[in-house]
This record gives sequence, structure tokens and C-alpha cells, in this order.
Amino acid sequence: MKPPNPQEADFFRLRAEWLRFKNHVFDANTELPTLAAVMDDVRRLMEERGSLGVVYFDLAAEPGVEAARGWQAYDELLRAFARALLSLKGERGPLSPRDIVAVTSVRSDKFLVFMRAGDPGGVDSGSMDARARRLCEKLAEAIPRFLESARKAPVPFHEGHAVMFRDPMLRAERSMHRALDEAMFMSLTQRTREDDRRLQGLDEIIGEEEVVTLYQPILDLRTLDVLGHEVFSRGPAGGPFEDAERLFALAERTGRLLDLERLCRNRALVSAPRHLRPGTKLFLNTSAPALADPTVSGDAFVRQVEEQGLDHRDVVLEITERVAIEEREAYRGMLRKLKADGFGIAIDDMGSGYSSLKALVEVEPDYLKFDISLVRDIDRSLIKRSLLETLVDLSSKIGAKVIAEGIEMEPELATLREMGVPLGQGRYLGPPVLVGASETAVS
Amino acid sequence: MRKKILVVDDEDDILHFLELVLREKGYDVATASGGHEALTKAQIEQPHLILLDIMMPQMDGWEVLKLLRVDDETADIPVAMLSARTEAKDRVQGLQEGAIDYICKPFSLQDLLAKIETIFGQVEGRGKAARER
Repeated sequence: MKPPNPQEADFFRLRAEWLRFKNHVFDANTELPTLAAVMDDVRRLMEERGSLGVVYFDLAAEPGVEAARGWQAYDELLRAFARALLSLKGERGPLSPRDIVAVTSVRSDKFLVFMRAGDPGGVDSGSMDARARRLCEKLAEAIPRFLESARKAPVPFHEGHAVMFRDPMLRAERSMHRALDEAMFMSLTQRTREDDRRLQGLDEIIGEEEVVTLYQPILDLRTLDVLGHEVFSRGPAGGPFEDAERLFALAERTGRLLDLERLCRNRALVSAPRHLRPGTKLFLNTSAPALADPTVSGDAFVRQVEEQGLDHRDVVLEITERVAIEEREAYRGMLRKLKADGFGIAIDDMGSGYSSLKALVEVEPDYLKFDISLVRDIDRSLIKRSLLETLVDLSSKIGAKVIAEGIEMEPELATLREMGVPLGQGRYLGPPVLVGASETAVS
Repeated sequence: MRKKILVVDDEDDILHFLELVLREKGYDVATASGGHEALTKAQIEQPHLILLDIMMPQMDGWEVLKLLRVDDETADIPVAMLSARTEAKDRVQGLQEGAIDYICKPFSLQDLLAKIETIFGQVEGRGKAARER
């Protein structure tokens, strides 16, 4: 190998250094600069105009939602937010072309907009209130257009704003930071107030037992007979907790998960005998912490199930492996006891990265549920097919049956049947329905 | 499509003057008053041309040019250097480092606008030639 020419070596060294630097001042995901990178520009704009408005946005996603959907989905949300903000720049938009959009720091989910606070010269906090309000409205409208996934649910965010003024007695950066703190505080106050309100709503749902129970059939893919139903619970329709993920994430964060799950479980057990044919299975979603709940882990659970006229061997607890490592041992012990008692065990969300094969073998589950993403377009993806084939093979070796979740189209179903996947679930086979509605079958 | 020009100069008067004039002529204009800001702006704005002052405190035009050239996202943006120094050495250095033109201060407005037009013409010509090949 010939030695690199010194000029070339210099180029690559410089490039490496530059890219490292760039990674610290530009957020690669949103492609927005950080506050540090726009500081000079902001100062100049403020000095030019005498004042400048700053708007602070905090994505109000429930903390548990990132954990539930994965960081990729959250990154996508941040990208959509950034694009939506940039799309509002324009001669007639709420943002002028010279206004500055940034993130507070790399990988942050807090956004900053520096904008003219009012007409040149005449600036006051009143006009800033109005401008910020208009910006929020337009932003809320724009975000859904930039979401890549099918989920077009509104994206909640919190906003705070302030005006920074040029003051010859103050160092410019200081007055910027003061305004930033003010805007941040405003958004935080809004967040706290909203949290309180939502918490009240959650307590009301638990106190008044307002959860809605839905059933979705799980079918034997060979015969298309109903094996059983998975039970879903969510908040009342039209309310903020119609989104089940939000409901459970908030309950988890605020220590109300066990109460909420107990309510959902009771509802499911009480309604089951009226709606399920005898001998079919009832799949109950159960979080890992709820396994330690004495109403599940104790003998009382068997009694509770039998009191409803159900055979407890027809109850399958559907569990995700999302458990802290130090709690794994205790968790597996509880699973083993439930199995010994005769309950079925299903591992949910296989393929989402939480489940390790070793853990699986130890628990000896009866069912493995595969993630929607593994099934999507399986008729067209060779890699997904061979991956699923391997998993089906493996499952039968450890004595578990595979349930393919999220079947939405005929070709997906055909492929899965052809491959010998024993069980399936999804909108195509029957969407979740409110209890009381009629039984569903393949259309 | 409207062309966007990034003007980099540490003297606010020159910056404002150029911003006004170029906007008047129908260009989109972004400005930066120092080397660091110039690099940031080049990333965000992705201008079609950068007018870059050489003599700036902290980070001079040569350094900015070098850093623009090592990043794939800015490597292809044409850069014209602005300078009060008229030595031939500077000219040569500018062209070696990948600047597309060299404009001496003080410049007449007509000259500057004509140069900008020429540069955009060249860039388009280059693109066309590349396509035809």
C-alpha cells in the first residue's frame, strides 16, 4: 500500500474532526441545529430588531409511550414535528423565512423557535401571546401531514413563550437565557396543570369503573375455528384515554397500574361467560408488575375465575418480557407458579427485542405472539418469511404455539396458512369489538 | 427557482448593504457574521452560492472554505471569496482551495452582480455538461 498523500491525509483528518463537531451541534434525526449553533444568529436578530420572541415546545408524549412503541417511532414523531415547524416558514406563514428553528440540544425532544415578536419597532408581550397562539394552531394542523406511519393521531405538545429585549446593560446571551427560562417555565406549568387534570381523569375512570372492554378473536388458521379471544381495555370513547397506550402509560407512571389492571381483569372475567362460547380461551393482558399482585399470584385468582363459571385452565395470561434484569428471577418464579396452577402463558410482542430465547425456554410458554411488524407484507418479503419459519420451528420445539398478530389482508393470511403458522389474529380475521356486539368471523 | 445566496462578513454594514441589494435583485439572502455562523447557515440554508469574506476574527474565510469542502452536504456549494487584499497569492490560494471566484473589495455593484450571474451560469453549464456526458 502506498502511503497516503499528505494533502489527502489532511483532508480526511479535517473531515473526521468536522463531522465530530457537527454531531454535537446538529441533531442528525431532525436535521435541526442546536441552540449552541444558532446562538450568534439569534443574538444578531435580537440586536437588529431590539427584541425577539422565543417559543419553547415540549413534546408531551407520555413517557411510557416511547418504551411501548420503541425509540424509532419516537424519532419519527420528532422528525414530523421538526418538518411541520419548518413548513410554517414563508412570506405568509406564521413564521417568517428569517425566523430560527432549533432544538435545545442534540437528541432532545424540546424545540425552540425564535421569531419576530410583533411588527418591527412595536413589540410587547401581548402581541407575542397572539403570535404564539397562532403558531400552535398552525402547528397542530401541520403535524399530521408529516407523520410517516399510518397513525394519524394528534400529537400533543406543550408550549411556552417569552420576549427577549436588547438591553445595553445586559450581555445579550444572558437576556436570551432569561427569556428561554421564562418560556420553559411557562411550558412546564402548562404540563403540570394538564398532568393534574389527566390524573383526575384517570382516578375517575378507576373509581367509577369506566373502562371499556373489547374482544378480538384468535383463530386456528387451519380450520378457522375460534380458539379464544384477547381482551382489550381502554378508556371511554371520545375521552383522552380512548388511546389505551396513554391510559396504561399514565397509570404506570403514577403508580396506578395495579388498580387499573385489576379493574380491567375483573371486567373481562365478569363479561366473559356471557360472551364467550364455553371451552374457548380468554387471553388476558397482564403487565409484569401485576403478576406480583396478590389477586393474580394467590390462590384467590383461581377462585375468582371459577366463580364466574369459567375453567381457569382456559385463561391465558398474556405477558410482555419487559422487566428489569434484577427482577427477572422473581418474575419467572411467578410465571412458573401460574403455569403449575393450570393457567396458560402467552408471551406478547415477540420480536420487539425484549424477549431472549433463554428466558423463553425457562418459562415454557404455551403461546408466542409475534409482532405485527413481522407479519406486515409477509407475502412479499422473503426475509420475513424465513425469519418466521425459523421462529415457528423453534416454537414447536419448546412446545409453544405461534400466534401471528396484526393480519390485515388476505394475502398475509394465505401466506401464513401456507407456512403452517397455527394461530392468527388481526383486523382481517375480526377486529376488536365491544362486548355485546355480535361474533365475528372471516369476511 | 429563486437562488439563495449566503453572505458572510464580519462587518454589519457590508452585510446589510449586500442583503438589501441582493434581495432587491430577486435573490433569497441569508447572512452570517462570522465563520462558525457561516458553517451553521450553510448547513441549514443549503444556499446556491456563498459570498465569503476572508478577513474575519476567530475563524477566517480560508478555514470556513476548508470546512465547507470536507462535508458532503456543503462540498458542492460554489464559494466566491471577498477580500480587500489584491495579491495574486491570495487569488491562487483561493482557486486551489476550491473557491470558484475571487472578488476584490471595494467592488462596484455592477461588477458583483455580473459575477454572481456568471457563477450561476457556470454552475448551470457544469450541471448540463455533466448530464450530457
